[in-house]
Formats: sequence, structure tokens, C-alpha cells
Amino acid sequence: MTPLPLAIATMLTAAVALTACGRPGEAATGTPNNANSSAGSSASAFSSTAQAVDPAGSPAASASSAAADLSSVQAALSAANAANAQAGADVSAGDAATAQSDSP
Amino acid sequence: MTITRTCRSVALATAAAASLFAATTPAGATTPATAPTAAATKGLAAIQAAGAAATANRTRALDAAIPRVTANTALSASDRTTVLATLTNDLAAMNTLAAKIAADTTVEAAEADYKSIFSTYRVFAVALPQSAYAAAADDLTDTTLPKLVNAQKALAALLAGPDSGKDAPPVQADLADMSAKITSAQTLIAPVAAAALAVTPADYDANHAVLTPLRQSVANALAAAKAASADAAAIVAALQ
Repeated sequence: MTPLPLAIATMLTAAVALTACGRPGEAATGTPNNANSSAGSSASAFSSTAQAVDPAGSPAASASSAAADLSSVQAALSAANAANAQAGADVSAGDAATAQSDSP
Repeated sequence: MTITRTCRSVALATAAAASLFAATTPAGATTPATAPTAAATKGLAAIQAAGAAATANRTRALDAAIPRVTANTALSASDRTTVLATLTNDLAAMNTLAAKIAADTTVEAAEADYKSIFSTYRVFAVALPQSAYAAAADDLTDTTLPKLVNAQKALAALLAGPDSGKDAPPVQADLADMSAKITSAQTLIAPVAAAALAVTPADYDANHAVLTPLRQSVANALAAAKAASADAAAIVAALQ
């Protein structure tokens, strides 16, 4: 095999390095993260690739999504119940005031 | 009604004065020339004592309510401003009246000031309950019901999608009931905060039950929201 010229070898190495760019967290979640503007465009492009590789419609992703939705439902219900309890306490406070005589 | 209240008040003051006078004047005894002045003085003192107690009672209640209202995140900003304006105004008025009644020199003036503690401000009958019912209504409108709406939508989406295999008539019945209860609560609570805060002492004098239907609407909306939450919990249990 004829050895590759040094310039071509360097370009191939750089290409491999660019392909491996991206943070592990982004690959796992497929979520764009443009917090660092210098890395924004490459991160977005990488995220698109990750979504294509691991589509949300897969069975594992659906189960995970459903579990997450149930958790959010339960969190919403907890917040609703807490607010309802606070409203009930407010009504009791109003009733306590009303129970006091306000006539000469 | 104002005439009735005034007559009743005057009658009570007269009876009190007569009672005080009787205590110091045995039946059949000759009334000393200075007796009416002494009775008036004792009547004035009694009214001043009652005025001090009534204003102090309201001042304590307002002092306790104002920090609670300030810290109540359930109240909308505009409603909190309205409520605090009423409560701080009433607090200042109670302090002013307490000093004025203590300084009054005639029964007539003291009694007029004493009556205004009630008829002009209605701290217990109007100011405090209206602020409490408005806070409850805002809580339901801004927090409880939006959270329940979000939960209902998420559950409907789960049943239509990933969890369609767990869908069943009882689950759909719970979902339908949840929607109905949320709608009922929304309808009941929508007018309450504004209507409660619009009630004035004069409204109360014209109708002592003026806050009753608003309080009932809050209670019914709370019950409907609680039922909707129970429906949602049943659906969540079915999906787990």
C-alpha cells in the first residue's frame, strides 16, 4: 500500500476529530444546547443527528415519555391540592371573622 | 333599617344609663340635683370602655390580617392592592376612632363615634371575610384550576397515545367527570373575587347576607376542584 501524503492524512484526522465533537450529555438527550454561542451551531447540528439515530417514537422512548408525563401529572395534582387547601384555609379565616359580632 | 338600628342603639344606651343610675339611686329615694350629670358621666365612661374594647379587637384582627394578606401569593397583585388598601384604611380608622372616643366629652358624641366602628367599617362582617373569599377565589382561578386543566390534558393525551392500551370505560368516565368538575369550578369561581371585593359596609347594612352566596360559590368550587383532583388520581392509578 502506498503511504498517504502527509497533508491528506492530517485532513482525515481532523475530519474524524470533528465528527466526534459534541458533549456526551447532548448525545444522550438529543437536546440542543446553545448556551455557549461559540459551540451553538455545531451542538445543534449534532443534536439533529442524535435525534435521527434515537427517534422519540421508539418503544423505550415512549415508555420513558409516558413515565415522565405521569410524573408531571402527579406534580400538577400535588400543586392543585396544595392550592385548594390554602383556599380552604382562606375560607375558614373569612368564616371566623364573620362569626364575630359586628353590631353595637 | 338605619332608623331601626339607631333606635335600638339609643334604647340600649338609655337602658344602660338607666341601669347605672338605678344602681346608685335606691327606689323611692329623692333624686339629688347632680344625679343626671353623674349618670351621664358613667354612661359616657361605659361607652368609652366599649369603644376601646371594640376598636382594640378590630385593630388586633387587622394587625394579624395585613401581614397574611401581604404574604399570600394566591392573591392577584391587583386584588392584593385593593384588599390592603381597605385593611390599612380600616386600621387607621380604628386608631383614630379609639382616640376620638376616649376624648369625647358627651354621651351623644361618644355614641355616634362608637356606632361608626360598626356601621362605617364592618371590619368583621365585610372587610376581613371579603378579603379571605377573594384570596380563595384567586387561588382557585390562578393556581388550582390551571393545574387541574394541565393534568386533564396530559391524561387525555396519554390515554389517546402511549397508554391507549390501559384505556377503559371507567377511566374515560373519570376523565369526563374531571372535565365537568373543572368547568363547574371555573364557572362558579369566575365572578367571586371581583364581587366580594365590591361589597361595601352599606351593602352589608342593606343585606346582612350579601357575602353568603359568594362564600357558597367558593365552597362549591373548592368541592368541585377536589372531586376533579380525585378523578385525576384514579386515572393516574389506572395508568401505573
